Amino acid sequence: MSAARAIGLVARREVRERARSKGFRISFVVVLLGVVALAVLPKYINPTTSTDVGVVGTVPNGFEQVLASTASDDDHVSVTSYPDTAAGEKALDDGDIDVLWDPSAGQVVWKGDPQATLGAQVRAAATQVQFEENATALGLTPQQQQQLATPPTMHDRSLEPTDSEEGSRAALAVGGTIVLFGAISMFGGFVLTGVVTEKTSRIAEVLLSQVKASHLLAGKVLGIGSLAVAELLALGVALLVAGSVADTISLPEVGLPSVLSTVGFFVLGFAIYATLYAAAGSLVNRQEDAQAVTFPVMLPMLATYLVALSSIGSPDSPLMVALSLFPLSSPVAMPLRIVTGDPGALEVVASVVLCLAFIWVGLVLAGRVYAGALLRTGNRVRVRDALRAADDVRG
Amino acid sequence: MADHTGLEVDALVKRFDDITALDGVTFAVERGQLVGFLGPNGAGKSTTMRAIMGLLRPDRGAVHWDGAPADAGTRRRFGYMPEERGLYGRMALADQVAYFAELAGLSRADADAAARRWLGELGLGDRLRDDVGALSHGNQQRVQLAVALAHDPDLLVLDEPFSGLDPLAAETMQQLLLERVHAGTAVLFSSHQLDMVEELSRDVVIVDGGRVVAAGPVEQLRAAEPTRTLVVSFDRPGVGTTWASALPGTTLLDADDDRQSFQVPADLDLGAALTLAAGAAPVTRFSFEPPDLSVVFHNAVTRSGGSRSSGGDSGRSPEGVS
Repeated sequence: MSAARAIGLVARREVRERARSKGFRISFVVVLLGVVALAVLPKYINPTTSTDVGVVGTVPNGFEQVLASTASDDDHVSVTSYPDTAAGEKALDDGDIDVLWDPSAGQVVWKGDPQATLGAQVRAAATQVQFEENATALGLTPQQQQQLATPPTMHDRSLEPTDSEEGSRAALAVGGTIVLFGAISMFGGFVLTGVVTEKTSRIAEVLLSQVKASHLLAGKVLGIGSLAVAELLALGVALLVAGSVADTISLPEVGLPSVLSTVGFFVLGFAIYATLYAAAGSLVNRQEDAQAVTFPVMLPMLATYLVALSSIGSPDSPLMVALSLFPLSSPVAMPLRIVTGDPGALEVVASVVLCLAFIWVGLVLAGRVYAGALLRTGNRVRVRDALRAADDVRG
Repeated sequence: MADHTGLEVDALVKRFDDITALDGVTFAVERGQLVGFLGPNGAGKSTTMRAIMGLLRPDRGAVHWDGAPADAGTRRRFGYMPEERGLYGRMALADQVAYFAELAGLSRADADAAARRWLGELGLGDRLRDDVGALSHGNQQRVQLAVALAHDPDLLVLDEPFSGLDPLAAETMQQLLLERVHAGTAVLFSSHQLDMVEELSRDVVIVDGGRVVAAGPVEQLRAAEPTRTLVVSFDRPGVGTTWASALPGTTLLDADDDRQSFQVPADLDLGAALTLAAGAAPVTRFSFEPPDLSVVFHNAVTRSGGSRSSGGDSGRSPEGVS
């Protein structure tokens, strides 16, 4: 049987059996609901604010429109007229309005301390209305009025280059890293427990009589990895759909290369760490011991993550360059650099090649550890012993 | 033995650290032959079987199939049931058996059909969709056998296939193995149930301390023993055994009611013995048989035990590596 067929068969079983498991389905639904909630909730947690302005007497023509034009997009402005000052002050006291403008008294009335922004908005609107009234009283034609009101041209210009998408890019990179971290912990854990289950129940002995250990592990990583990518895609689509329906999320306008590199390095990172998990799983013989080996496996990732986050302002520093080339850290560091920095094409290619080489060597070595450790039961097996025992078995 | 068909295990040697697990194990199983593989715990049975299945690389010696060294390709035609059972607890029976059959090279359709067929023959046809974990121990054992059988292997290597089975299940499994043997499959199985082995297989290989201490047809091994079992029944109970004291080299094995059995030399003068017995009381039964397989086993292992004590700890179990 070809290696591809053996790996494919193992991968297919992983996908089918995981997808069939109740625990996986339940956790998927829970996470899915969580993601949808994440997308929809901001609408309710942070609803549009409303500003209510009271005016004593008739509201001057155009006052409300001018006021609304100075408010921010998600601020809803309403203007209410009160027959006299007493009625207006009562509404202010009851909290029906935020501010009361009393044109005849020439006062802006507050319940407590004046609010600078709202006060300025009310004054600006009143000024504009008064300006138009005065202009009309002076007998200016609408054309002359417009000429008089034309503001000077004032565009923004920065001395340093700015990137309007920088926020989105960094968010994508950091978000991608967090998702990578979570997904590797969860699905890497599947690989680990899967390997330990096969070892402890001695299924491995039947398996290894037909399949090479490295093919077995590769199939496991591939199958569970496919499932991880599929779940993340589903969650991503759910997030975007729910977000756009609820109008809380708009796709960050980040270039396709950034998205592709983040996804690509996600896959590489998963494969690397899943391989490590598989090797770690080969070393333990009891399900209870499995958790003990997960931390050392995740340590390089955790360290890279922290270093990378603190270097987000200097993505092309020598440290980040080194981290983006070393296989255990590059799946985190390289996408960060691609998105926020400027790595050369050669560096990216070198990083990918090193990752692939690491995965290949890792799977072969893990396969040897797996086969070697299989015949040794009892306590945790030392890597050296397992590799030595691997000489006793076919790899 | 180059033109041999079937399995040849040729002078396997395997050391684990300072423990010699296999010390030149040599025997053969032909196609259509059922061989019982016997030995005390730690004698090297499981280690030999793992070496046959390629799970373990021997330090020296080789495993041949049909005259050629066994490799991954030929081993795909081997079926294996390890001593410690290995099945996915949360996988449906049919899927599980089909999965292993596919790994052994069957197409998906063939694997599915084989899974149904073998599980059906083993009496699990109505539980194809059940998880293995929901089955009783004996039924899990049947599934394990189905896994070994599904790809219709040329050689079956079964480590303790009968352990933990109730008599009915054991009988089903025996029938199935005999059918396979008649169909030309070579079968090597280990067991501690010597009476069952004697009933089932014509040939045995007995190992101890990593060496083959006896091998061949059970009948020949029994006949080669220097002792016989003499059973005498009288027409009434309480006859006493003093009549036998005149027989040379005789040991009383068992006496109850009207029946007495003795271990006697193979060259015992039967006429004289019968005359002596008849002198004590009327004889209703008089039999002179080679000893049971259990005696053959006991003697073979005891004999090798003498050589083992001078050979250091070579008899320690390969499982002792654990």
